Amino acid sequence: MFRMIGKRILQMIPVLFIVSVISFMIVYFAPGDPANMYIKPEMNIQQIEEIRESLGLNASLGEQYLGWLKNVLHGNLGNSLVNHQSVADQIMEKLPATLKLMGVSFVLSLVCAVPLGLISGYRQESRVDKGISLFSYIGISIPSFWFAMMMIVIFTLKLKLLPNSGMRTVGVDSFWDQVCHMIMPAIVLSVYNTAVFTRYIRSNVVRELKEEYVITAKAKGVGTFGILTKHILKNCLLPVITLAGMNLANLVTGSIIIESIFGWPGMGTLGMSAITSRDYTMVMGVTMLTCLMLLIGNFIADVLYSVVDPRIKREVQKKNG
Amino acid sequence: MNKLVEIKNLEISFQDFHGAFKAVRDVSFDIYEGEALALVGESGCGKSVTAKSLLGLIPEKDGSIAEKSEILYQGENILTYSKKRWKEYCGQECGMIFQDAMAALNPTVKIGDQIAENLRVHQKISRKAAKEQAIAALRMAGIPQPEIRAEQYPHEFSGGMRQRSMIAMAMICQPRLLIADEPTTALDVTIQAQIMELMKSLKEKNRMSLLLITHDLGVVAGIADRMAVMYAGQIVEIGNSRDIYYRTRHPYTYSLLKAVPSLNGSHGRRLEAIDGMPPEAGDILKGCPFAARCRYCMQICIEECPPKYEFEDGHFATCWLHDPDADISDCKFQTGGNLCNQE
Repeated sequence: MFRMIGKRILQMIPVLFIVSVISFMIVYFAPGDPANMYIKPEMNIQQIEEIRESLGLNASLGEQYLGWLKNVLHGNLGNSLVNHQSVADQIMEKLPATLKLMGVSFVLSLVCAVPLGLISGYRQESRVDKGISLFSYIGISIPSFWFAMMMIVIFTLKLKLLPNSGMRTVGVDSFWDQVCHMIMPAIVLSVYNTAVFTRYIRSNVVRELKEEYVITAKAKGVGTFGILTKHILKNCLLPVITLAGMNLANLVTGSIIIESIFGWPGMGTLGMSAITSRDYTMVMGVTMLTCLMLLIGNFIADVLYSVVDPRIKREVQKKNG
Repeated sequence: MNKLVEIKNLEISFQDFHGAFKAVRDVSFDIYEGEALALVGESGCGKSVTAKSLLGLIPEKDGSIAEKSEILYQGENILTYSKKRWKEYCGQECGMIFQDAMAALNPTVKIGDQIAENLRVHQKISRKAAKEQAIAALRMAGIPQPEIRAEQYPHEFSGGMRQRSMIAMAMICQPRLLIADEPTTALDVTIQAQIMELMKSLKEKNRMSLLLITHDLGVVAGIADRMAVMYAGQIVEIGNSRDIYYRTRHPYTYSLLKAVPSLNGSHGRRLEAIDGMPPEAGDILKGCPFAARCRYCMQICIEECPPKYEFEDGHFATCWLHDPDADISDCKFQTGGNLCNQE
């Protein structure tokens, strides 16, 4: 098991390297120039050149990349080209807000999806199932920005129940206030995941119900609840774990659309502004963090597979001796 | 001997896109206390469905049991059981072993936990005590190092061990009736013998009844006290094993027995098979279902269903050949119904 973990961590290094090369190239070749931020109408060409030189933008692609890589290997993500503050510091500043929001919505969607999926799959083709399926289809197909705005219209403008923007009311520092701010964005973010997870769990339950071990459990006198929770749930979690692993990256990148609609001061807004201002170092910082989290997410999913399904553990052990 | 289970006029039909068809047609038989009854027949003759109905495992969606059917367990009709009573009955009073133990065990739950679950569903017992009993049950089923084995998963067991675990699971609540649905079909011959031996000894030790479902007459020869031969959803012959083997009354049973390969005397001889195919489940049968494949078929066999004829004590066969009016001069079979003496 430890050998497998070590192997997987070593495998991450080339992936991270390739991703960094590709994303650096994309950023380099993208039209636009961070120096534009500093140019004033009265500047002459020479002054502009000086600014470009000072930002290191005149060096070749290779030189720029190697310079960036050298810094990163020393644990330094560099400074933002726009406000000259450390990239790492800025990310650390925005990260907690995003983690909080995405974490809550992720847990919310799992908590809703597991029972919904189990019921829906067990009572296949019943009215309950049709109702849940309808909800899933709506959840999958509804555009999140529209849903977010509808929520604001209803709960903020009409009912005046929930605040529509930010993480907290200025001057108020209570837990309840933060919860109120989180309700709408968390619901909007979790609806899609809930719908997707529900569909996956449902189809797995339908498949697993045909397995013979379900008949064995019935022959033992195990009730419906026991069959669903003790026997079927574990067998239908694998695809959910895969999806959840992929979702882990979202925990740190946040959602650009939802964060900007609800004025959530998180990673989504940070990344968005970095891209629009062609802040190369910031874009690279956010991209590499996303990539790392995606790899870690998949890695955790792989480890969880073997916890949920003991047959996989044995195969992994066989492969790695 | 007392009757443990009485099955009366059991009729089970299934719905598919062709419409309804009867998988079990008017089957009646009894299971006595402490006996081993073998239910024998070809694939698709309805023997598994009959057994499953004893545990309420007929899927409600597409299978239904006719109104007139009764399954009396200790005098009580289990078909009218409440949900709660069913749960008590399943597993505790009636256990079941399946053909493919690999599929029948949950791949993601430890063997020990699966066995203990049966106990925990029916008795108020701590997790730890249930586990201990599960280990004891594994030991009883002949699994070495049961403490270690209980912590393992089904894929770490061999085929024979899995079937032993299934037996341990079915037996842990000490049921009055154990149903074994082709318990040895998926196993090789030496393991088959071991499993049958294990079931026989457990049956005698616990004085429970055993309903053994199989298509292999060789497997049940040593264990079954009585046998019921099923064909196309009906019981065509039922009686003591000795009577069935040595005083065969139904041409189908006779052909089945002839189709068992023997180790001596069959050298250089072709194995006898029954010609033709059993009727499709949806076919509407007017006469005897076996008529089309029967060597001794008469005109009446095609036209009318034969009644039951009784011979020795409790030995019944449904075949027109035993009718006193049967004109058996025009078929080669002229031995007064005793098919085994024919050669």
